Parts: sequence; structure tokens; C-alpha cells
Amino acid sequence: MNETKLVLIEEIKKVLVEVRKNPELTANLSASTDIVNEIGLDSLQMISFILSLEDSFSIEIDFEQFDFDHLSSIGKLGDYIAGRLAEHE
Amino acid sequence: MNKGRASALVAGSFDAEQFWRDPGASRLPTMPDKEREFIVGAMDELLFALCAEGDALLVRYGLPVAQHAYLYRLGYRFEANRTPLTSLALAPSSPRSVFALGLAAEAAPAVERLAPQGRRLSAYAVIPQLAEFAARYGLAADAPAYAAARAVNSKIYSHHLYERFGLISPGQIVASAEELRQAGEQLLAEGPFLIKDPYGVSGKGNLLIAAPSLLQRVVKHLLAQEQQGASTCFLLEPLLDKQTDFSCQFRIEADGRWTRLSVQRIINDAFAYLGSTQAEPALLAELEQAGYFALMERLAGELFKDGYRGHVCVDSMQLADGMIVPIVEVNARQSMGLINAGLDGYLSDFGLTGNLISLSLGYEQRLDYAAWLAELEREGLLFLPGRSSGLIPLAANALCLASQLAEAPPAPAGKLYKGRSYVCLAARTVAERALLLANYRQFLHSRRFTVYN
Repeated sequence: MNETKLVLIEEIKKVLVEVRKNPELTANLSASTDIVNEIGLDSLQMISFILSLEDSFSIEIDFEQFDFDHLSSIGKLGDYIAGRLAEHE
Repeated sequence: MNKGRASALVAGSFDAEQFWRDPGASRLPTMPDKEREFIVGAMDELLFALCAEGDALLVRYGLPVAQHAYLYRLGYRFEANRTPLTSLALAPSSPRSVFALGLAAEAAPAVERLAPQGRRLSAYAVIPQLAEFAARYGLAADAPAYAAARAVNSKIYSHHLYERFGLISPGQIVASAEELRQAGEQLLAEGPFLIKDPYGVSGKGNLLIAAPSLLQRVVKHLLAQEQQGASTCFLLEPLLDKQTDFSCQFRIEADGRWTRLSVQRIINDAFAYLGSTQAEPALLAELEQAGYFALMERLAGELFKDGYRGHVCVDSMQLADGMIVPIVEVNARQSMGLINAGLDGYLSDFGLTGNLISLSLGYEQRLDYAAWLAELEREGLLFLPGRSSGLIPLAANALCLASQLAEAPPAPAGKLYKGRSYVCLAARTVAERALLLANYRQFLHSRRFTVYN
């Protein structure tokens, strides 16, 4: 895993912990953590999470069109964000 | 159990707010949540707690026989439909209320069996097609006009009540994305604030704004909708340093008299409802002294003047500095608090009190509800008359439906079925209820359930 991806994953983990307001969660998060099935964000937390990702990475995500498969692991979400960042470069 | 009154058909849709909302109004950012729609659709089973002997319960997905039999063992005597009102009701995208479904020809035999002429209709909320449903089946509805019910359930109405009472509302209304931007910037200078949809519900329709970038993003999202012709109306409130959420349930009779029914502490997980528990005498005394109940009586009078009668649940809170915010929102309908009060009424015969909680669960295997109940009983967790404590599972389909709709268990690789376990923790003391919850969590973990809250 390259350094950029590691940084992205760490940032995603940080945002998740903030949204869940649960610092203890940090220890249980890895690149393979399934955000939908293991973290179980409710709809309100999900929107806060997406908004916070937008803020952290200065990207814009279409809420209604967002593909939930990107949330099947933190690593996959990192790939998605890396792709979005590359579009802006 | 309320002898001498006409028996009732008890029914309702717990997502009443979605029917009241102006379809042309702009929306806060939202993401599709099909599982939540299923679960909310299945919450009508909770209304058994408001059924008296001889009543009938009409539920969207049909009451599983195992749950009906369990409730019978508890002493509840009511009829219910076994099968879904329509096969379409199982489509998660179906936005139709239980009354709309009940009006369809497919559902008529089930409704007619449960609702012989002359029954009352006890509805969770006054929503579209309630009146038509009542007329179609010859039910005495005694419900206020739909327009009146819709109006008083708006958070904008709650906000204006402060003016009527000569009090200062913590909130302010914005009527455009630009107004939101301006007011939001001012509020942010003092701290985080909430944007509330006039018909937002717990966990949906409220958004916490803690940074200018988030505000700008939401403004942009709303502006895009305004350009498509949507109108904007939201209530903004500073995020207050809250210590306790509580709610007051009362009923306004046809002649305007009000009857206080209960006060419940609300247990929230962030902004989502987690549970209810009866308020203790110390809180009631404090509220009495602060003039809270006198204000609730005045509020009941205002609602009646505005054409509403029936059940009301007013959400309130107490701040860390002790100040009481009496009206967070008015829910002119039945409520989870009322359901918990109903359960407490039942449990009082055993010298127990209950704590209604909901746990969001993920699980891998298809769930057989009858086997689930049997397992809870084997483990000594299930409440039955004569036991000094135990948990009462309140809704079967909210827990099991997702797995039962899938054709081929187990769940597709890497996916979990989602369900919500509504239970009443019945015991004598707070400590016993806490122990019961800990034991239930352990039970769930030992069976590889993921508990999300």
C-alpha cells in the first residue's frame, strides 16, 4: 500500500471516529473494515460522515448518486477518494 | 382494561412526518436508507401496547403467530392480521401508509374481519387517507381535521408557540438558502448549530453544522433545489448544552379538557432515539415547581384552539445549567413515550417498571422468530408473568423481516441483514434493568450479532 493511500485511510478513520463520537473505535478500524456492516452508521451519521469527508478532502460527493459499495471497506473508500482527488489534479 | 368503551381498531404508520412534509420543499442532504424504511414500516407492531382487551391491531407486514402467542401469554387479548396487507407492502420503496394499503381491495377481507362496523379507529397519527379508511370500514374515527394535525406538527408551529406564550424561542426560521447562509454564519460565530426540517424526525431531518465549510456545502445543496423551484424553510437552533431529554404525553379530549398521561426520559444516541423510561418523582417535582405542567396545559389549550384533539407528545429538555427548554417540538400524535407508558401500565400489576430500548443489529443468518423467542426463554431472559424481571420483545418484523425477504440465506458474502430489536426491559430497579440489558447484549454477541448502538 503506498504512502498516499495510508494517509487517506488514516484520515477516513479519524473522520469515522469523530462521527461516531467513539474514540475507542480507533483500535478496531483497519483498511478492511466494512463501514456499513461493521460500523453501522445510521442515516444521520452517514450524511455527517460524507459531509466530513468532503470537508477533509475538499471534494464534492453527490449524496443521492453515491454508490454504497465504496463503503464496503475503508480501503475501497480510500480508492474512491484517491480517484476523486486525481480528477482535480 | 378500559371497560365500557367501544373496542378499537389500532393502526398507524410511524413515518407520519413524511406524509405531512411539503413535497415542494427543499431537503437537507440525505442518503437513501432502504433498511430504515423497512424497519419503520414494521414498527406498527409496537402499538399492541396500546391495545385493550377485545381490540384489534392492523399491521403492515402481518403479526407473526409466535409474537401474537407470546403476547397472549403475557395477557394481551387482541386480534391481528397475520399476513401482509399487500404483497406490495414488502417493497421497501412503498411509501404508502397503512391506511392507503388498507383501502386496497387486496387488504379488504383482512380489515373487514378485524373491523366490524361500529369499532373505533385508534390511529397513531392523523395522516392522509385516515378519514377515507374510517368511512370505508364504518369506523368511528373522532380524529381532528388533517390540515389541523399537519399544521400543529410542524416545528415552525412549535417555534411560534414561544411567541404566543411570551417566551423567547431558542430558534429562528430561515426561508431561503441565502438566509440560511447569513443566519448560519452568525450562529457559527458562537458555536455549532442545528438545522431542523419542519417535519424532520429523530435521526433524519436534522443536521449539525459545526464548521463554515459544512454550512457552505448545505447552502449550495439547497440553492440547487431552489433553482429547480423548491421552497426553503428550516428552523435553526444553537446546539445547547443539554443534560436531559424528556417528553410529556397528554391527551386533549373532544371538549378541550386535557389529561396528563406520563413524563418519559428519552435516551438518545446522538440525535437518534434509543429508548424511553418513566421519569422519576424528583424530575416531576422539579418540573411542577418550574411551572412546566402549567405551560403544557396552556399548550394543550392552544392546540385545541387550532383544531387539534387527541394524543400529544411534547419533547423538552433540561440544560446543564438546569434551565428547562419546555418545547423542543410538539408531536401531535401517539408516541414511543406513550407506548412505554402503556407497557408500564401493564407491568405495574407485577410491581415492575419498564425501559423501552431499541438496538440496531446486523446478523448473518436468516432469523426464525419463534426459535429466537424460545432461545430467549431458555436463557432465562424472556419476561413472563410471575418472573421478577425479563425482557419483552416488542416487534418481530423490525428484527426479522430483512432476513425473511431475502430468498436465499445465508446473507450474501460480506453483507449482514439489518434489523432493530425493540425490547422492554422489565424489572424492579434501575440496576436490575441495566443488568438485564448487559445480559441481552452478551446474548447477542454470543450469537454473532453485531450491535451498532
